[in-house]
Amino acid sequence: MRRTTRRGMTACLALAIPALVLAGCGSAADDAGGSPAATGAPGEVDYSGTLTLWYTYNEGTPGLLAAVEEWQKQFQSEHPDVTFDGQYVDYTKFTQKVIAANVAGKGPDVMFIAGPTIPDLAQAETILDLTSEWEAFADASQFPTAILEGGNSFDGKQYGVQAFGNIEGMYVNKTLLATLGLEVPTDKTEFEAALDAATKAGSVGFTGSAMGAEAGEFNVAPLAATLGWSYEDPTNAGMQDALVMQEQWVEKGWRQKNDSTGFVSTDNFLTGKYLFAQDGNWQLTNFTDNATFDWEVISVPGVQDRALIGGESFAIGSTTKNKALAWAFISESLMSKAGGEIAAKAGSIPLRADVADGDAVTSNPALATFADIAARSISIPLNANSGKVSTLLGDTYNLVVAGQIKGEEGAKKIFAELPGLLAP
Amino acid sequence: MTGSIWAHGVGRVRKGRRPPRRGFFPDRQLWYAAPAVLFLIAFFGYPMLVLADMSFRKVSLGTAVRGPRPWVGWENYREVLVSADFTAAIPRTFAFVVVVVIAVLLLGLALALTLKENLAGVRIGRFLIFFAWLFPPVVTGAVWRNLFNGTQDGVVNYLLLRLGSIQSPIPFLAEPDVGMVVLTFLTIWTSLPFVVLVLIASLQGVPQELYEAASIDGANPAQRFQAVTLPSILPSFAMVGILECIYVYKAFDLILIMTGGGPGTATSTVPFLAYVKAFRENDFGQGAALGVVGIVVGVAIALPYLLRVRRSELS
Repeated sequence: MRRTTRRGMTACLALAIPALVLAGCGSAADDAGGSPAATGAPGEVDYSGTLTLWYTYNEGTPGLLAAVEEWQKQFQSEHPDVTFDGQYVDYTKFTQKVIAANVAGKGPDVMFIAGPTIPDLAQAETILDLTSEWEAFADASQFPTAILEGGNSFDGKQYGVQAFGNIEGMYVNKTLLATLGLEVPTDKTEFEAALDAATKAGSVGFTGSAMGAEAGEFNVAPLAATLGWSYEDPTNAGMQDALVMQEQWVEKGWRQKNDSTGFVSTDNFLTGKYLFAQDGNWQLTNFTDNATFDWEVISVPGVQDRALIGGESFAIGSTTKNKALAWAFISESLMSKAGGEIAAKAGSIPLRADVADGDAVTSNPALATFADIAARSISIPLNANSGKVSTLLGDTYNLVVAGQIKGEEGAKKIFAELPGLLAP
Repeated sequence: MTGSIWAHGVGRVRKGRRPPRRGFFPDRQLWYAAPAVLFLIAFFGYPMLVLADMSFRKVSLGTAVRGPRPWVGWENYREVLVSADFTAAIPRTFAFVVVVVIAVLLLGLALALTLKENLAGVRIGRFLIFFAWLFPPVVTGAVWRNLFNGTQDGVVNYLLLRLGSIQSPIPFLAEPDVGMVVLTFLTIWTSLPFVVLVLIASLQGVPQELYEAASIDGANPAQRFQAVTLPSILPSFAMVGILECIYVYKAFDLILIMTGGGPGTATSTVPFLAYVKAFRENDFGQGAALGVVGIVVGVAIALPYLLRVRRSELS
């Protein structure tokens, strides 16, 4: 009876009531963790069967791995006949695996994908167009349009929706800082003075992963964006300033060339020997659980007070047998207020306005700092050259940190090639 | 009966009569090779054709399966063959293969000579060599990557710092030259067991009588090695050398795990660059072009081996 009522309500609300009114009426249900009323899924939803989920979270991202379990439980509490088959897929092989599985007629119902992979996945017809679902989604107005539509669209169609963002921020080892007799830096001069003091005291000033490709792009873009660079202004001097700054940090011994060899910053920071670490908000729970020293997240003008908005988009695989149920899971659980709070608990930055402004974020100082940085951050424009853009930016940063090229030389290469790659 | 030994008239051909014509279908015995031939066509021939076709098209990850994949002629080859990454990778790959193969052959021979005796201690050494061979490259790479961690917490750096040999940690995997030395060392380490085992088997096959005869003729150990051992194992030695050239040229897993071909592409070999183009930049067309170039070079390296096998079959 309850299911029938909700199903009918979904259809009626989605078809007949303007979104604004629906958002207001639906708040009580949303507070309880979302409802079919908010799904916007066209047609009937059969709340039974198994949904296959593919995601990139594992023991290295314990917070988000736990969040996936929570989202499933939340949905199952409303719909006990639904089961989940969650599968971890390696981040670097995700797109290839989705395409390969799709060719074989298999693949996930719901997948957590990186935004820049949307053009490839859409061209390969592995993900479904969610434009109509999104347009009918009652809570759409809760989300920032630029990210939810701009950052998830390709060729005029919306293929993904996003409930939380992931960005890089600056972690500081407060115990080490106190040992050095320093205060938390508030600008570049103080920051570099702290780097110098730490290095002279036998510690290491800074660590941040400077791998090539997307991972490197995700780390260098925040540094450059802080100094004025963006994808809309790809030849802005901020990129050169950021690369030259990193070159100098390496030369002065404030950061190590080893940063260029992999995802090293998390392990480095946990040793307690590094004063600052550029790392993601998804490590908040990891550092909370495992760091043996006091730390906090800071925003430093002139060094890093902006970031590149990342985080996973939710997409529906084109081989799904139950698109309506897949969308119901996305809209009722992942995109709901309760779902956003689960993301916040995992250390991610919820994009829903009512969660971003709520206790889940504001009561957590580290997450609040990340949210503050996110508000000033930039996002990656999607086009068919997204892979080459990432490789250009990431590999250049990688080479500068490894001491193989000068920052100026790297910037020259980026300025020569990037505008062409970003052209529509 | 066409195709049978009788159809060919063995022992029955009368003088002055033409032998029966060979039928369209080959001898029955050849049909036994059909599964293997089909396997080769399906899993080697067809993929090679797809690869060659792809190398003349513009293909991204998104268009690899369902298109469109426009024909671009030699453009992919032109782009990759003049790229700085490729021109830098050629001498690097050559040096890598030459150094590893020479080192592994010399060390392998020395170890094989030591381990060929059936003594108790030697048997343990032989077991250890075999044991090292069992490790998957992923495990080997992960362990060595930890040892060569370029911070003060890396095992090698920690020891060197404690010994006072260095003032600051060596970024083993972040410096291209040092990274290549580490990769070379590791490839030697992982290749050695195979060479040692083959050479031990070859050494144990040398007739003892030859050594006894040489001793009676007054040959000292060095002369016995030069006159008996080396000529006896030379075919195996040459064969293993060519095989090592092929294996080392194709090296992939250790490069991926240890340096990822970086910084940038500074420790990438030619075959590894194909991976970088295809799976890091998602440019399957250029990746395929590099793959074809890599195969051509690989075949050139393998040619002496194939000719030797052919010669031994004919003889």
